[in-house]
Amino acid sequence: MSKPVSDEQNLLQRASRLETQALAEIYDTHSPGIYRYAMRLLGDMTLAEECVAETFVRFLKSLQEQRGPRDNLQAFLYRIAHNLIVDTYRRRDQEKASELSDALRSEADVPEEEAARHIRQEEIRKAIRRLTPDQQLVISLKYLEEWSNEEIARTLRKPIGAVKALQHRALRSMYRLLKEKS
Amino acid sequence: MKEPQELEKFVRQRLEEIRAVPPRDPHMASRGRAQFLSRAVSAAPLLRQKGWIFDFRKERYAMNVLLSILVIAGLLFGGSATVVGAAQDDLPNEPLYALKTWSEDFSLQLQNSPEAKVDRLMELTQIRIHEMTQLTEEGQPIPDQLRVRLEKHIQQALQLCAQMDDPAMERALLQVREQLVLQVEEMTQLQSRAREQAFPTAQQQIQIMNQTQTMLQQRLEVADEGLQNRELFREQAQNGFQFGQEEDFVPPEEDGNGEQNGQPDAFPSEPSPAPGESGNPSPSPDPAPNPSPNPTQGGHGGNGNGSGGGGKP
Repeated sequence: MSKPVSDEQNLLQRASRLETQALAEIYDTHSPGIYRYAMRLLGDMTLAEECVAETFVRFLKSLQEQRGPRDNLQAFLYRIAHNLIVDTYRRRDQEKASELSDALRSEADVPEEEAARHIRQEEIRKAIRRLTPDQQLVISLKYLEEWSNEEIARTLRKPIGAVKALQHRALRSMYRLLKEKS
Repeated sequence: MKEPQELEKFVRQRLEEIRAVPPRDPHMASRGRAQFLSRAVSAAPLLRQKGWIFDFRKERYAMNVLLSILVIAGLLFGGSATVVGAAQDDLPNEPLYALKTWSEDFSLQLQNSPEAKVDRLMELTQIRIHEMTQLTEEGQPIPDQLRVRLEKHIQQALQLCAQMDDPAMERALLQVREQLVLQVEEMTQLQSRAREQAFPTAQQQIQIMNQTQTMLQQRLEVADEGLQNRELFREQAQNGFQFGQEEDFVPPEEDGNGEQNGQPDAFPSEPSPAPGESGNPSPSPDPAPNPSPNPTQGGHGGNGNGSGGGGKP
């Protein structure tokens, strides 16, 4: 996934001039991963597509305003995507009541096993939502996207030690939240 | 409290539940991509128009050519690059417009791949639409040649798409398509604005906009067809695309004066292809329209490479 630094810097330089080919290459390289990431955390195809679209709109805007990334593009894009996901979580919490009734209605239309799986998935997503944004990012990048601590540290702009500490606290919280449910 | 390894194992196992992701809807994915690229293309002209003149550092050959030309322009106009830069804001009814179109043609020649040329051509289409908008807002008549030049950019872009391999063609056609969709919408809005403003020139403006919109819609259909059937699209490209009532664009004679009624020619001929580009042996490999053998012919589309349009007197 990650390109050699010089290649990436060259690509970003071209992107900063809004060269369509460079932007297309960036989109083709990163949008599938961001979609997967958003899909895992949001569990909704439309929301995931919206997250991808908005991530790249913000990326484009940053380039237009000459404040785009000069390196670590992947970290930059995932940071935007994650902020958008956290915003979606917040919006969802506000719409909790209607969402619950929608969920119950939709569960009635699907087979039992499928419904049970869907409920388990929602429990996990709910547990993730209850972590702090940084903990969410660490848990999802580390255990869903299989990123290294170094990559996560670059994304969070924190030292590796801080990432490890965050990871440990996040694991403890997740364990407690998921045990409560089960 | 559990050991960190146990915690990790437990959480990892539970997260497996959400790891699998259903395949992405290819239609939504390609629409998202096209929207992003279209947005990028729309954003690019302003950024690049300011900077392209100075952006040839890596192209030594191009830089040398440009420097020579700037020196000559400097001697002729006494202002070198400043003059070319100043011309970028000119409208077709202004004195430096010819220089603007010339610099656009020159910048097109400097693009080193068909994809980059399509990018640049689509930027130029956006600039033409922007000019129409400005003329409309100022209550000025819109010269038909503005529509012709816009048409020529699109025709060239489509011809270039036809020369690409399948994946590149699909990407480029999607980009062209998205841009055309936006431009058709812009034409509708612009016509409403012209009606609202009700300048004495409104009728003329609306007529040109109507023709432009029809032309854009026809090209949009061609791009759509190309996305459906690439081979047919390539065949159509070789035949110059047939567009019914359109006329062939005839570049002016390359006699070096390029003037009309003592005025500099605001719509100079298309530059010849950059070195190494014209080697395609197919019947119409060059996206630039060939001069029609009969400049007076009109009312029937495509003579093999025509771009349509009003023709040059």
